[in-house]
Amino acid sequence: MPARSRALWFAAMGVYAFLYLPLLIVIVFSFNDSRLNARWTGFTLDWYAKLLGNQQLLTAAWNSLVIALAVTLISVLVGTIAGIALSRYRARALSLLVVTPMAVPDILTGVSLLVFFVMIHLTLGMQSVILAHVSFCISFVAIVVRSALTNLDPHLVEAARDLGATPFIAFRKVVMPAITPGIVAGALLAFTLSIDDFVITFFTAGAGTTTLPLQVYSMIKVSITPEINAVSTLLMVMTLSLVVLASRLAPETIRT
Amino acid sequence: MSLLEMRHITRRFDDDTVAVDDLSLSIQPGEFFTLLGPSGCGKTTLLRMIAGFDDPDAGSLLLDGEELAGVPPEQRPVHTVFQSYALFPHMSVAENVAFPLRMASVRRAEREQRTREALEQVRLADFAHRRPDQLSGGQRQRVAVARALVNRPRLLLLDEPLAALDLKMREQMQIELISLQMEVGITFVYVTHDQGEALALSDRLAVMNNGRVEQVGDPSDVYEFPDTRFVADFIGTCNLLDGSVGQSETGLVYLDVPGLGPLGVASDASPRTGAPGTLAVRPEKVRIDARIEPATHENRLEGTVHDQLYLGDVTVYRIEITDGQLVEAMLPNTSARGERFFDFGDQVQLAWRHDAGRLLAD
Ligand SMILES: Nc1ncnc2c1ncn2[C@@H]1O[C@H](COP(=O)(O)OP(=O)(O)OP(=O)(O)O)[C@@H](O)[C@H]1O
Ligand SMILES: [Mg+2]
Repeated sequence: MPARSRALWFAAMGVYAFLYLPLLIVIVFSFNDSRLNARWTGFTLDWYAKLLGNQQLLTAAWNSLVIALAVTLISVLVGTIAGIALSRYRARALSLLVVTPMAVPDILTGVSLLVFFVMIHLTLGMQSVILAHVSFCISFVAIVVRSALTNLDPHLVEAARDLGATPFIAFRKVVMPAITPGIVAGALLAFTLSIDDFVITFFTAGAGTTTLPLQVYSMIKVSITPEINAVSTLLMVMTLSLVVLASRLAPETIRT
Repeated sequence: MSLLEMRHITRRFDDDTVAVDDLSLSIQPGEFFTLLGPSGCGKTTLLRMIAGFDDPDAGSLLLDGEELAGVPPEQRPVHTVFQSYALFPHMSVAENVAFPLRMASVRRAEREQRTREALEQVRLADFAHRRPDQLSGGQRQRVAVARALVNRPRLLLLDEPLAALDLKMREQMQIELISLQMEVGITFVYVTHDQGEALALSDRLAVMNNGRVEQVGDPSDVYEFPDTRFVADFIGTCNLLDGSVGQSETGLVYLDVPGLGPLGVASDASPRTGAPGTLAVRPEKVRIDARIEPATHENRLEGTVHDQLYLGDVTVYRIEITDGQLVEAMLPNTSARGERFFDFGDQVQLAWRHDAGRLLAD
């Protein structure tokens, strides 16, 4: 190997180590038989078993799941319609307005939503968190659906009409099958974005409601226990597999 | 009664492009009709209006005597083979072909039988369960044709269906399309910018230019007797000699071509003396030789061989005639050992019969 490409190889390895070593440590120590995160003493599944007994944590996980499912459902419905509209009316301003919320800092979104909810007298809780998550998940679904439609051969719809399909049947038989992978990918994205959101949830959850990320945060304020490593590992496995699935379904939109 | 009547069809885009300009044509039942013209002359625009994807700004379309305006594409008994084939990617070959039958609510048993027959007709019975992306270009093209024919439309529109295929495949598909059309007896309207394809396939063809029809006729008519300079030039190659009308007698007009003198051309028209005119003569009608005896009913010129193009079956010689103009003459390579008849700079004489030329008044 020439010196230059060897240097490049080491640099790349360094970057990967930096990206994945912390995650790896969390996973490894979630199986560690010691209360301290310092030394490996032996393999155990105790921490995972303990999770099942932690009522607060289970409630938080349940809330997160309900929120994520509701967010996914609403975002897919509204986002798909938005994506179809975007591909039909190709005005740049429209796409920009849909993409912008993805770029706005979470803290700004969180604060402004909080102010808005208080202004319209919406009681903070599950419902406000769902609305808040929907507001940024719609954009992702809309973008994925629009891109699936852009890749669709426009002659396909014409061919269907030509061969006897009404506009509605043509949409159902030709457009829907083509954009379904995009919609599913959008749904998976919405789900993962919702389930591990912290900042926006923090602002909009109110006092009584807690979600998994919020619960984990309040636990580490006391101390970082192997129990947290176990929760984090589970969360990580779930989100990673959903992201991989989404990228398989819509490879043009979400590149891996 | 003609099957399809197009009456004064006009279609404008953004006010300044006139894609189709006051075009009238009628298509007879059962014929293979071709629209031939250069890129951008409005062929696709015209087909889209027939299929119902676009509406004329003026004029009317009648199918079997009935106005088509306001009839949506799904209700027109007109099916299209798209240039991109537009096969449904998530359906198998058989499902693609069965689609129009499904739309027409044909019962399952009959649907399956007709799908099978249509696939056999295009020799794809063994590919029924493949997906379109598992087929070659030629096979996809045949699926598109089978799908468009299966529900027996009154009219089949084909927009450059062979453009994406290689030369060999294209020639094979041309032969298949002709025999398929004769077998099913459905009227074809075929779009191409390939003049060879148009001549080989059609019963009749229309040459289009700038959204207008320049000439309609059967292939040999259009090739042998072009009406306009554009047609003469677009179909095959043609020598064009400009001049002005001189003497004329019954059935014969003499054209005074500057530097060449009067050249005779058979013509039934009796144009005004002094009017501008063009003599068109195809290269294969021009004889060349070292010496040609003068004959009545023939034009004879002299020149030197300027260059030659060996094409295998024929050689095209370009002869510089006395005033510096080039005339092309095509000679079949009949000699057994392939030696050349003439060389650069040779003094030659060339001649063609009065009735081999064509007088274009434009
Ligand atoms: N939707 C459209 N909007 C604006 N102009 C158009 C549209 N469709 C076609 N045109 C214009 O109309 C003219 C005719 O186009 P058309 O596609 O009918 O040509 P064509 O004969 O099919 O050419 P080709 O052989 O390249 O397919 C062109 O100048 C084209 O730019
Ligand atoms: Mg075209």
